[in-house]
Amino acid sequence: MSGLAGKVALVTGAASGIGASAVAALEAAGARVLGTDIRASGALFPHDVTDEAQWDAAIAEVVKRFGRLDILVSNAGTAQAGPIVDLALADFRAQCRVHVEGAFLGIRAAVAQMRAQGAPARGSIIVMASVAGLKPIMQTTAYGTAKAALINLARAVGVEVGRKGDLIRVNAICPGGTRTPMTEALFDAAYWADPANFADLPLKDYCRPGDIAEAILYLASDEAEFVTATHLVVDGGWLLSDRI
Amino acid sequence: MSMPVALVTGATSGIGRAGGVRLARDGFHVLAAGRDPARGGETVAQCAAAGGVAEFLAFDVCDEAAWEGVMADIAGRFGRLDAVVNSAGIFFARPLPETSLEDFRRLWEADVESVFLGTKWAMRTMRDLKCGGSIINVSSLAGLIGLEDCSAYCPAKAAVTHFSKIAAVEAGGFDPPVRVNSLNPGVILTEMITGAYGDTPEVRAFVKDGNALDLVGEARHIAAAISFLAGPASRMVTGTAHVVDGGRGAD
Repeated sequence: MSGLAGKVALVTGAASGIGASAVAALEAAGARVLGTDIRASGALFPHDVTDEAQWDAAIAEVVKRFGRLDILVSNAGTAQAGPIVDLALADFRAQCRVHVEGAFLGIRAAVAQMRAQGAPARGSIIVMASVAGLKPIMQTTAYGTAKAALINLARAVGVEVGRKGDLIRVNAICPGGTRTPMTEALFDAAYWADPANFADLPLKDYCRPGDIAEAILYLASDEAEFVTATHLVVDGGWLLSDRI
Repeated sequence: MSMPVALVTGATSGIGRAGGVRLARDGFHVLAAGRDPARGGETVAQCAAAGGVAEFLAFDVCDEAAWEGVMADIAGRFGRLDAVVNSAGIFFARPLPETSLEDFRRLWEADVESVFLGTKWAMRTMRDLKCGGSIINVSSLAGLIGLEDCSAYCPAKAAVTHFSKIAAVEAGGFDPPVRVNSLNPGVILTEMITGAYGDTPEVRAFVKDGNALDLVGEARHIAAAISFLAGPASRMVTGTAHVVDGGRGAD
């Protein structure tokens, strides 16, 4: 992907799944990447995205290592599924905190860093949303609500920073069902192995983390120079299907 | 292995030309379709200058018999069709009370019927050749929002956007699957805009000032999105309306 060589990226939720795939894809495209995760090990930087001070530390770390920040992939998240009548307020809040507050803090910190690097500020911010934020999917009351908020957060900030003269782009990606350790905790291996479970989707298949990483590369690169304040759906057509 | 093949309509100017040149650079054998051989020749020359392979294909995208013939030729010559970009279209701005039924129908035929035919014949060809593929229908932000004096263009582009979703549901079931997406550019500085409004400083300011980003939308921006949607990087992207508008439609 053109325009990624030498760019500096921060990817949250990088220990597994889409985040890990994004780190590998960005590095393969020539970017320098700091991956962070609340379960940090190896090269990952420890990072609870709901903690304001830890965002300061993560941004400081990427600047210390690579001198700047060009790309933020706000990807960290957790799954939730269950009937609304059984959903505890604490669990609802936890979903909103990690997805919405986590992205809010990350976007705010990234915009500040990008602006400090010179005017007009440049960069690409990508938040990981979901088709669950675009259509009501059964039992995702908290997750879907948080993801919908995230999609409009990206849109609002994209408009705001653009109108203030920054060339910072802010977009959301809305994956459909993607097989990752997070979703494997909800659906076992037998579920993913059975094509009958995907026969109702237009492309009859689920997404792999690499499919989402390709969309991240596209939005992160200069290829998407004119793409901002929108969302990109990568779902095999789930949004169009009867599946909820 | 043979080169992937892409057919691009409206390839004699603007987004179609830039998309064709980009796909040629990406390694597609590009069939650049249009009506004007001189302008088509210029597109082919630009494809060659980009290091690609292209040829001009003269036909009327509103003529179904022409589509049938073109597809038969492609099947016979290449045995594959990997991407079709339906970019041909027209635009005019006119207040509704001054818009005749004839005006309305002329735009509908050029912008909607051409896409219907191009999608239908691309789907038939990709299905029968069992080659899979990606169909990209160039719609517009105007298919998602309303614009002043565009009572013909806005509904036509909404039709293209939604038609593409319906086609995606059907084409996803092919083996191998065919993907269909609409691409919804904002205001892009092409001959379509300067032809309708003129090429003045005021028009250039209009093209830029409605965007959130302080950037003029150019055909190359849309060509980059065509490149993403045409190739395997977007393997799981279908039935979407990809907005490339510098944030113009977001608020």
